[in-house]
Amino acid sequence: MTGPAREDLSGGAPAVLLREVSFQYGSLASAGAGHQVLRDVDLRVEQGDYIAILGPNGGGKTTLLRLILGLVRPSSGSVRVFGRDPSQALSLVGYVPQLTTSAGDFPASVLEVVLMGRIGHGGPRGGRRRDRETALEMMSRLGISELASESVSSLSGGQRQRMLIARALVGSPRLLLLDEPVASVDSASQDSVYTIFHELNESGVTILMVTHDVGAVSTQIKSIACMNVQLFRHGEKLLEADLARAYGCPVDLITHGVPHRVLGTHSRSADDQ
Amino acid sequence: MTEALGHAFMQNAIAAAMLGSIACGVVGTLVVVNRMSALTGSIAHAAFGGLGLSYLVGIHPLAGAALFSLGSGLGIGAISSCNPKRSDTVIAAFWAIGMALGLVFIRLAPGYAVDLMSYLFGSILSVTRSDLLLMASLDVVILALVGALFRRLVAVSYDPEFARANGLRVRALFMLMVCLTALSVVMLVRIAGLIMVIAMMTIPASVARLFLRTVRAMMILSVALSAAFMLAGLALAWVLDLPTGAVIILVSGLVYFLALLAARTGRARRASESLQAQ
Repeated sequence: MTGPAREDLSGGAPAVLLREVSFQYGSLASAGAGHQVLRDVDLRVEQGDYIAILGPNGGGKTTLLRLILGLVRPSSGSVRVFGRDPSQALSLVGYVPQLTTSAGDFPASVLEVVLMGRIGHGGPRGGRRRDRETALEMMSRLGISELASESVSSLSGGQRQRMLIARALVGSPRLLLLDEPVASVDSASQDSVYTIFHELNESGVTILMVTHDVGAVSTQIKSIACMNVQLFRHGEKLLEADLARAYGCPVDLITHGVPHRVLGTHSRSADDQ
Repeated sequence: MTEALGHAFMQNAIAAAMLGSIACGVVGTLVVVNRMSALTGSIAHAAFGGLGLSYLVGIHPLAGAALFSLGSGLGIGAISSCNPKRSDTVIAAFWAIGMALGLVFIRLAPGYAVDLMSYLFGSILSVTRSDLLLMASLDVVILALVGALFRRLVAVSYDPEFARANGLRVRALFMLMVCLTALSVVMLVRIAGLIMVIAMMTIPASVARLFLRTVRAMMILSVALSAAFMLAGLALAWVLDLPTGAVIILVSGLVYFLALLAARTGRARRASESLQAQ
């Protein structure tokens, strides 16, 4: 199932291509009355890119990811993933949802949850052992192999986040979608998580990350955009003007001399306004 | 007590308890981890409409019940998948509408609905050979489907959004769980009655949930607990000359609250031990 899909990728279609995409909640009957989440978004992410999309909470970032995953359909415009309809590209995409949306209190072990990422990717029958090996290997890479038989409800936020990253990676995705991937990871493990993303990107995996935290953007990203209902800019450098338009307030871009950060955190004065 | 075991009806009752506990444990675990207790209650009460209909048109009561519980389950599933926030009221509406239809059908039917009480409150002692055959076939269907789709069912229960993004047919799997619940309810109506069946479907799995940490283990313990509750209830009801369905539910309820207490004190003890260790 994944075999022929992999070969098609050499065609060089963009990993993600959005054309004039708008999205609003509410039924068609009440068109125009619904809350507009995205307006006329154009986005082109080439294969091999590592892009961060910054924007305030409620700015439509998660909706953007759900459109790329085919979980929702745009009200207008088109979404293509590796040149095809999102529903036809699911086996190529790995998804790390925001931590708050996944059940914390559920009777499952960490290994079981990581293995869920292999369903639909596992190839022919009898691949159970291979699934297990892949899962354990990914867990050791993320430093959570000793948690394999722990219950998910006993994990800390950072451990659960790494479990969800492992779950997305065991399907060997060509495009990785990350929703606030380091929101609850402590800063020491942030570095190790970013190293893994960097290595994946080096090996050819396209990464699209959305976050509201300007300080969470790593130096390894290749392009950046700002988003609040509309997508503001999309290039290699981040301009304070774009950030200000997305957040609706001035945002200072100050480096703290922290090696893995290009940007400072939201300044106090900006918050006050 | 021992001479009771010689009666054919008692042997049938014990067999029914064993067969029913498989559905209770396996499907009940899915109900509990998906928080579908209210849905289960609604499906069970809607089955009353089917019982009424079967009196009116003269079909087998369980066939009418199956028709209505499957129909209401699929209806609730379809409406709430369009709008999840509506599921609460949809569940309540189907619950009451099913009961109301049942009463209207029974009023319209000629004669007197004699064994209606046995479906409302259950009568494990009147289970027949053909009931047992039906229960056994339903168990086979449940075990085959849950066994074949186990990993998918657990993945959908844990995180439906990720499962969908991973290419699983989430709505179909959810509807399958609803149908399995409806069929289990019909099967257990003979034992505990449609009013109390919700307890049979949820209490064993809820007790298992307190002490176990995987869905598979929960299913196994729930089957054992259901069987134990039913056999203990059956024996007590026989000795005390009380209605069996009610005694089975009371035994289950008592164990549930004791288990809650045990889990609570266990947690408190572990917490104080880890405090002392520091």
